[in-house]
This record gives sequence, structure tokens and C-alpha cells, in this order.
Amino acid sequence: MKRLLVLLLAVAMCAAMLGCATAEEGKKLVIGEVFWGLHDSYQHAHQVQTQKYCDELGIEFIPIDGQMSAEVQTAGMEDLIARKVDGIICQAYDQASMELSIEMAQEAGIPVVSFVNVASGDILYPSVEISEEEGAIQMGKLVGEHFKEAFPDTNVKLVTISDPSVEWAHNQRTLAFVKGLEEVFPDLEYVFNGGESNREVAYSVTDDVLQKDPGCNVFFGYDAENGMGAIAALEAAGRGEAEDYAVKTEFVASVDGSTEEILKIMDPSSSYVATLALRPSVTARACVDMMLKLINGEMDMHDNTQNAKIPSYVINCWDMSIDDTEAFLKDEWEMDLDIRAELGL
Amino acid sequence: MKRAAKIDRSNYQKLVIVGVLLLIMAVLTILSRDFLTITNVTNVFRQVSTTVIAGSAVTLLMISGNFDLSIGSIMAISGTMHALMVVWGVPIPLALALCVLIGVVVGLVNGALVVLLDVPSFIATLGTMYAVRGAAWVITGGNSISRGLSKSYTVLGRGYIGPVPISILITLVIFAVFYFIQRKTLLGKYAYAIGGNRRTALLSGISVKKVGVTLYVLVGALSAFAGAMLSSRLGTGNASVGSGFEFDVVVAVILGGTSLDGGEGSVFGMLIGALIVGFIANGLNLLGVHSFYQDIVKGVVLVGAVFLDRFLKKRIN
Repeated sequence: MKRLLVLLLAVAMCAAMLGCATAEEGKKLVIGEVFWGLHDSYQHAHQVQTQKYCDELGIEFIPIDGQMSAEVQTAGMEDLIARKVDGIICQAYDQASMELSIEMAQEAGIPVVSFVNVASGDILYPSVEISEEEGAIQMGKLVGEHFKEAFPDTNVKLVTISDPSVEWAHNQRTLAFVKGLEEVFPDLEYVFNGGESNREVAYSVTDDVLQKDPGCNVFFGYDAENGMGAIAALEAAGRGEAEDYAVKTEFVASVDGSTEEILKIMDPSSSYVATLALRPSVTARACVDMMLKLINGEMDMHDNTQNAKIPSYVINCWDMSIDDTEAFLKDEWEMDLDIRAELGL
Repeated sequence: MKRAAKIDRSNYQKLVIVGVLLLIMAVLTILSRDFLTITNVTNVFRQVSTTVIAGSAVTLLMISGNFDLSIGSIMAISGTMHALMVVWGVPIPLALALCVLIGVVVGLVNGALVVLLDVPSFIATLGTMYAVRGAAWVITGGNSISRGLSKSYTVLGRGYIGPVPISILITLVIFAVFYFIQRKTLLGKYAYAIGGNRRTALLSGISVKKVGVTLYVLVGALSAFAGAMLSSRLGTGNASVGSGFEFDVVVAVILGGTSLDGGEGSVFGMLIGALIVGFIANGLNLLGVHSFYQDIVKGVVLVGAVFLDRFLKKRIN
């Protein structure tokens, strides 16, 4: 037994020494990215697109899952700084704590590109923003107009499945959607807001809201998880239906533009009507391009005056054909999806 | 003779987990040239500091045969209250002391439920876990508290004394105190006695209830301190902080050789367990391993380390 333990320790020490002696000097450009949370379908697509683009450019890419946690993101940033990467892309879950990590990276000479969040105070850094607010307002208005057309004598009873603690998403997506809807229905009845970025929670919330008030007729999820959770609960309650895109009882809309949402929207028998589609390919490339500008000295790491803005747009069942949607998926999500085959049309 | 055998067994156990830690470090050193650097090792120590602080008390609690699921929630409420009080103008040291007091109160509630009212520890602390987390959300209204926090707020979590981070120094002091408590004080010995056989401990004149409540209070106080320190490190008070933290601590404690049945374990083992988990997470991040695979690796290492421990124990016995 003693021999076994001594052997274990000896192997460990030899290996450590060997590791120190043989570690190779790498020359490849290395970029790390701390994601918001890779469980999310958009985040996952963004990671895939960044990896693809980095491979094309011969850059080593290190993705780190932030797991929707400030402490996990902080640890990830510290690990990348210790790894002495050439640049870090990040999307903050908690902006205040992320900015402390950004400052730490900048002090170590590592440039940081922030995705979505813009510098809020003394710590300055460039950002790639998503212009979601305008798109969400437009989507709210569009849903309102079609609702009015479908149910001319009915007021909107709105449910939003949205987590206010994620301020940027709640403000730019949920509240913007409400603003657009209010342009058509200034006296709409805002029945409920709640939930997280979690399908099960969204399902339960929708279930409970239907118990409280079955008359709710517009459901909005601030991401794919919340939208899909809501429609699943509605379907389980025998609702969420349409006939040749004519909604029967309620309209469901969300943000992200994931495959699941798009399939629902293109399904003529579903009441899922719209999603604000993010563009993972364009966005991922914009982040890497900005990082390369920083690394090559074409931009200062503290410059927050040249932020890139990536517009997102509304995919909906009224203005877009299945062919248009397939083309979008191919261009943005690198996805060959046969929507007709998937839906059995 | 028996005592000699016991010491032998306990030392073997520690040697095994230290060996596992060294092996993991060796492998990661080979795979990543950035792993074995002072900056990175310091990072890992800083990342596991909250686990070690709370784990020091949790180890004694688990040795006594009890359990606490509310530590992550205590961290959350303590961190948010710490930030909030500093925003209100309370001096940082006083805010810190008040946060620890909050932890003491939750610990007392846990202790009263489990020890005095005989509610199973899993159920009682599950209840406080939800209630305290909910309170943290109510206090913050779902928002992060960062506006109005000065730079000095982050000193506890991010500051240095010389080349050493303050958080690591504090962690080492707390670890040393609990190492001493476990080995040299009556509280430590009573925890083993109660965990080994509660009835015998009671018949031997040990105040089982008093020891139980004391351990819960210590867990509450240290978890609250860890929460305030984490809040300082993050520069924000957020009610979502510490979600799943209880499992990080339990994994470290179990990896360190503490039995879920009580009566066995050590604070030193918990430290090594926390470092094993910390180095694996850090090393896999450095290697760019996707988080989905990281979870698999962590699971395999946890089961593997416990299996190795059991295997060696059987051989020794």
C-alpha cells in the first residue's frame, strides 16, 4: 500500500517537472470569450460561429461558459488573464462585477471587447451592441396591428415572461415590446410579468397565469427559453393554435430567432407569431473583427466611441415566407433546415 | 493499537487525496503551459476561498452528522446586505460585522429547527435555503446593488497585502483556526463523538444540543462572511450569487474524506478537496474545454476520488 502511494506521488511530481520542462511556446493568436450562458440556443450559436470564424483566421479560440453567474464569469475572466490571451470578448451577466474584471484585464495589457453591454462609468472599453430596442418596438407594434385585425373588439391582456434582474434584456426587449404594443393598444391590460431564462419556469408561470386569468391573449418571452416554455404550456392547455396562420386565441412572441422558435412561427397551425431574430454570424464576426483592430493597434482598448451596432430584425409569419426564413437560417446560423420537411407540410 | 491503526488510516486518506491533487496538477501542467504560474495558482486559491471559508465550518457540522443546504442563500443575503449597508453609509467593517450577525441568526434558526425541534437537517435547511434566498430577492427587488459603492468596497475581495491577496490570507487564518478547533478543542472532539454515535455521546455527558446549535451558528457566520467577501470581490450585491454553492462545498468536503454519515473527516481534507475542484475547473478553462464536458470531467473525478478512497480504506482495514 505504501508503495502504491509513493508511486502515485512520484508519478505526480515527475509529470509536473516534465510539464514545466516540455511546455511549448505557442505563437498562435489566442482569443478567449466569456459567454453569458451556453445553455441558451443563441449563445451556443454565437460560440459556434466565433469558433468557425477564428478557425478561418487561424486564431485559437477559448470559450468559457459564464453559466449566468457573476462569480463564474469573474473566475473565467481571471483564468483567461492568467492564460495571457491576446484578447477577451465577454458578455456580462452582472455588469458591475464584469467591469472590475475588464479593468483587471486592461491592467494586464489585455484588450476586452464587450458584447451587448456598453461602458457605464470610469472603466472604458469598446462594445459590439445589438440594436434590439427598435426591433422589439417594431415587433410589439406589428403584433398589436395583427391582433387588432384578428380580434377587432378585444383589448390586449398581456403576459411577459421576463426577468427584470437581467436589466438590459428586460429593458431592451420586454419593455420595448410593451412600448410597441401600446402604440396600438394604449390601454392594454398588463396582467403579469415574471420568470427567468428557463423553459420549465416559463411553463409553470404560464400555467399559473392561465389559472389566474384564462383571458390572457398576448404572451411575450424575452428569450427563446421563455417563449418556448410559454407555448408548451399553452399547447398543454389546448391552446396556442392557429389555422393557416390565423391565430385562434392568443399571440406568442419572443426574442432570439432560434430554430425552435422559427419552426413554430412557420407552422401554420401554431399561434407563435414572431421572434426578434439575433444574428449570431454577423455578431460573432463583428466581435472578432473589433478585437483584431484592438490587437493590431488600430483602436485603443479604452475607446468606447466606435462601438459597432448589429441590428436585429423581426421574423414573423405574416411578412416572411418559408423560403425567406430558410435563407436567413443558412446565412446567419449556418443551418440547412428544410422547414417544410420538419413541419410535415 | 487501535488508535495507531486509526491514525494510520486517516493519514493514508490524506496522502491519497494529496496524491490525487498533485496528479491532477501534474497533468494540467503538462497540458497547459500557463497552469503552473504564480498568478494562476493565486487565482485558484482566490476562487476557492469562499468554499474553504464556509467549508471549514461545514466540515465540522458534517462530521457531527448534520447537514446545511442554506449556505448559498446565506451568502446571497449577506452579500446583498453588505452592499446595501455600504451604500447607506454604514462603515465597511461595521457592515461586515452586521452581515456576520445575519448569518448567526440564520444559523440559530437552523440549529433550533434541527437540534431543538428535531426537524431533519435536510428538510430544515432546505426550508431556510428557500426563505433566505427569497428574502435576498425581496431586498434587492431583483436588481444588482453596485451604484454608490466606492473603490474601497472591493478591498476585502480584491485587495493585496504585499504580493498576497487579502482574501487568501483571511482564508488561511480561518482554515488554521478551524484546523485547531477540529484537532485540539472539545468542540472538535465532541463533533466526532456525536457523529460517531449520538446516543453514546449523549450518555457520556456531552451536551449534544449545545454542540449542534453552536456548529450551525458557526456555519451561518462563516457563510455570511464568505458572502460579504464574494460581494466585495464582485463589486456588487446580487441575490443570485451563491446559487449551487452548497453543492460546491459538499463536494469539497466529501472529496476531502468526510463521511455523509458523520464521525469521520477533516478540515485539511476539505481544503484539498476544494483545491481539487478549483484546479480542475481552472485547468479545463485554460485548455478551452467546453463547459458541458467540464461537468462530465468533474463528475468522473468526484466519483473516481471517492472510489479510490474507499478502495484504499478497504485494503488498509
